[in-house]
Amino acid sequence: MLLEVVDIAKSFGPVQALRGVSLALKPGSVHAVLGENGAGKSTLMKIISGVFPASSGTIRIDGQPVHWHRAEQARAAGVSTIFQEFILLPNLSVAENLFLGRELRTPLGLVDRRRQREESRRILARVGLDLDPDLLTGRLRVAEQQMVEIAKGVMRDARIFVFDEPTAALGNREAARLFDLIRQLQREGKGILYISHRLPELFELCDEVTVLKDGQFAGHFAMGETNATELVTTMVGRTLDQLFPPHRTGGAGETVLELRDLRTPGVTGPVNLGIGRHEIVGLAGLEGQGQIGVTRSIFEGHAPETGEILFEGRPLGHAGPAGGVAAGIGLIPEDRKADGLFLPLSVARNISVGLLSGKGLAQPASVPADDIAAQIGRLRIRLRSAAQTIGELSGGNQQKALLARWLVRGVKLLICEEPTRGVDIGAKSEIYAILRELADSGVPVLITSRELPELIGLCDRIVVVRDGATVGSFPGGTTTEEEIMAAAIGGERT
Amino acid sequence: MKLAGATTAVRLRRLSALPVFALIAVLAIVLGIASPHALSAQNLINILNQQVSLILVTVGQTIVVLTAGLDLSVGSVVSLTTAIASHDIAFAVPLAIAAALAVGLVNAGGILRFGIHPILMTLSTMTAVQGLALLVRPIPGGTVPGWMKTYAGAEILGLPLPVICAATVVVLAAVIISHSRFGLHLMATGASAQSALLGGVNTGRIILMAYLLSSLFACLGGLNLAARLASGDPLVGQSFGIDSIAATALGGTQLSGGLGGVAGPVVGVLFLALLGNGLNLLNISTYYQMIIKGALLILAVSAHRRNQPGL
Repeated sequence: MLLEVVDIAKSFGPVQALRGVSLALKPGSVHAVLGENGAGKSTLMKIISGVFPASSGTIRIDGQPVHWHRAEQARAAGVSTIFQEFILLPNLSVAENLFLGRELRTPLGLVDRRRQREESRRILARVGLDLDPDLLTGRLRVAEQQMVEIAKGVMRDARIFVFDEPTAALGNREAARLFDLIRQLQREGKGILYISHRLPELFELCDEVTVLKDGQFAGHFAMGETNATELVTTMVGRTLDQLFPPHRTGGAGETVLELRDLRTPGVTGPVNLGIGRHEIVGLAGLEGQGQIGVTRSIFEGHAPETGEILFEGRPLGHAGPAGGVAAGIGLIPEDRKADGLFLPLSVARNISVGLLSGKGLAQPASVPADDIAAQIGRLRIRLRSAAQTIGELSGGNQQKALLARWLVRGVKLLICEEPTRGVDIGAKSEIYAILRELADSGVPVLITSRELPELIGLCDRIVVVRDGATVGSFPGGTTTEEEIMAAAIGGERT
Repeated sequence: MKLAGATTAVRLRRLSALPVFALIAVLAIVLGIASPHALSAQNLINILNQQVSLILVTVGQTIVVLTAGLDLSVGSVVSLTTAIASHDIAFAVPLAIAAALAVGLVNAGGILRFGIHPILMTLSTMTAVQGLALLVRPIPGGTVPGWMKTYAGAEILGLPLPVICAATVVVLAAVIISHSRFGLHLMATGASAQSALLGGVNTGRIILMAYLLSSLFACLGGLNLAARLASGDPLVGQSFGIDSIAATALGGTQLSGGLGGVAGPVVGVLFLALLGNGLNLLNISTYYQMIIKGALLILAVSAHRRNQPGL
C-alpha cells in the first residue's frame, strides 16, 4: 500500500474536525475523497500534506510510519499537494516557483537561473505545458498555474498527488486537460487523492471513493460498484433527486427584465434576454465568455452602446452598483470573499449592509437584530451567534448570509453569480430551494454557473453566451448537457 | 519569443524603478539649464557624500519593505549609534553594532512571536530607542575614534572613501537581493508569507534576517554619520525613518512587498537630494521646497501604482 491513513483524529481547540478516519491509497489509482464542506476533507488533506500534524492516529508510506509537522517534510517524502488556494507566488517566475526552496546554485552560491530555466522547460514539457519559464506566474491563467503546481510535484518525483477541488476554477476544456494529466500520472504508478464536489467527474476519473461525513468515515466504495444516489445518500443522508426543487409549473409571469440587442463596454453582444416574474434564468457558457459582463452591466447599469436594458418596462437609468441596489437589484458576486463579504465583520453587519445602502451617511448604522435573526432562521444559517465573524463560517453559510443581505432589504431582481461555488451539497439544496421560493414569490433570479447539472436542474431557462453574445436558449429540466455544450462551443462539436 | 522572454520576470522587477529614473533625468536637465553649478562634478560628489548615511539606511529599509514589512525604528537606531560611538570607551563601535542588532531582534521577535503589525512594532521600538539614545547622550557632543575621522576625510582617486564604501555595499546588496536564494525568498515571503511557507521557504528566518539587516544598515548609516560629524547627536536620525521609506517607495519598491530592488530606492535617495540641492541653488524657500517634494512624491509613486504582477 502506497499510503495508509489509520484512525486519524484532529481537533482544533474544542472542535473535533476528524475522528477515526482511515483511508488506503494504492499505487496507480485515483482515490476520491467525498464529503460535504465541513466534513473534514480539507483537514485530512492538510494532515496528509504535512500542513499540520494529526492529534492522534498513524500515517504510513510504504508501510513505514511518518511524522510530519511541516509541509516540506511531506513533500520530501513524496507527497505533492495541489491546494485549493494556489501557493504559487505571483511575483516570481515559473522557474523560480518550481525551484522555490531548493534552488539550483552556481559555484559562487548564487541562484543558477540558466540551469533552472533549462530544467523547467524539460519539466513543463513533461506535463504538456508549453510555457516560457521566465513568465511571471501572476500572468498565467488559473489552469496554467495549476499545471505548474503539478509540474512541481512531477519535478520532485512525488509519488502521491493530492488534488483539493482542482476543477473549481476551471472551464470544461481545461478540466478535460487536467484529467488527461491525472490519468498520465496514474499510468506512471502514482497514487492520487482527489477531492471534489462534482460527482460526474468522480465517476469519470476515479477508481474508488472514501466518503466522510461530519469528520468521520462514512463509507468506502469501488467507483464501478456504486452510483450517485448511493454516494449522496452516504454523504448527506438524502437522495439526489431531492437536490433540486421542482421546476416552475405555472406561467413565467410578465417580463421584469429585458435586454434587447444589448452592447455595453463590458458586453460585446448583442445580448437578448428576458426574465419573467416567476422565472429562474441561467447564463451558461465556457469560462469567460461574457456572462459576468452581462450580469454586471445590469447591476451596475452600464450605459448601452446599442440596444437597451428594460427593467419593469423602463430603461435602467443608473450608473454604478449603488444605483443598481437603489433600483431594487441584488447581486451575489462570483468571488464571494473578495467582492461579496466583509470578512472581518460580524454576520449581522454583513447582512445589514443591504439595509444601509442608500441611507444617508449620518444615519446610525443600526442592525435590526430581529429581522436579521429571522433571516438567519429562515435560511438556516448555521452559526454560534450573529455577532460571529463571517470569515469563520463555511462557504455555504457565507453564501446564505449574502442571500440574507438581499432578502432583508427586499429586492425586485436577484442576480446570483455561481450560487453554489465552494458550497457543500447540503447547503446547495437549501440555496436552490430559497432561490425557487424567491421566484415563486415574484422575485426573478438570474444566475450564472459553470456547473451544467446545476443550470439544468435549477433553471427554468438556460441562455448560452458565446463571445459576449447570447447564442441560444434552452428550457431547463429537459435539455441536456450536450445541447448546451454544443451551443457554448459553437461550430465545432465535441 | 524565447530571447525576448528570457528575462521577463527579472526585467519587470527592474522596470518598477523606471519612473524615478525618468524623473531624475528630467530633473537633471531642468537643473542643468537653470543652474550650471548644479551638475558640476564637485557638487554631485558633495551630494553623494552627504547622502551616504541615508543610502545605507534605505538599503536596509528596502529589504524589510520587500517582506511587506516596514521599519520605522531605523532613525532611532541611527541616533543611538552616533550616541554610543561618540563615547570615549573601549569597544564603542562594536557596542553600537550589538545594540542595533538587539533592536532588530526585538522588532522581528515582536512581529513573528506575537504577531504585532510591523508599523506598530517598529513605532514602539522607534520611541523606546529614541529614549535610550537621549539617555546615552542627552545633548550633542563627544568625539569619535580617530580612525573614524580619518575614514570620513579620506579620498581615493578624488572620490570620498564613504562614497566608495557605500557604492560597494549597495552593489553587494543588489547582487544578493536579485541573485541569491535569500533575495528570492525575500520576494516570496513578501508576496505571500503563507504560500512561501507552504512552498518550503523558512519565512520566519527570512523576516528575522530582514529586520536584523535593516538595523545593521541603520547602524552603518549612523556610524558613517558620526564619522562625518566627529561627534554624537541623539536626535540626528529623526528624519531617517520617513526619508528611507519615501526613497524606497519612490524607487519603485512596493510597500505591499515582493516587488522591487535596491537600485531604485538608492536612486530615490539621490533624486530627493538632488531636488533639495537644486531648489537651494535656485533660492527657493524651504517651505516651498517641502510642498514641491510632497507633490513630486505623490506623482512619482502614482506613476508605478499599477506595476504589479498579473495586472
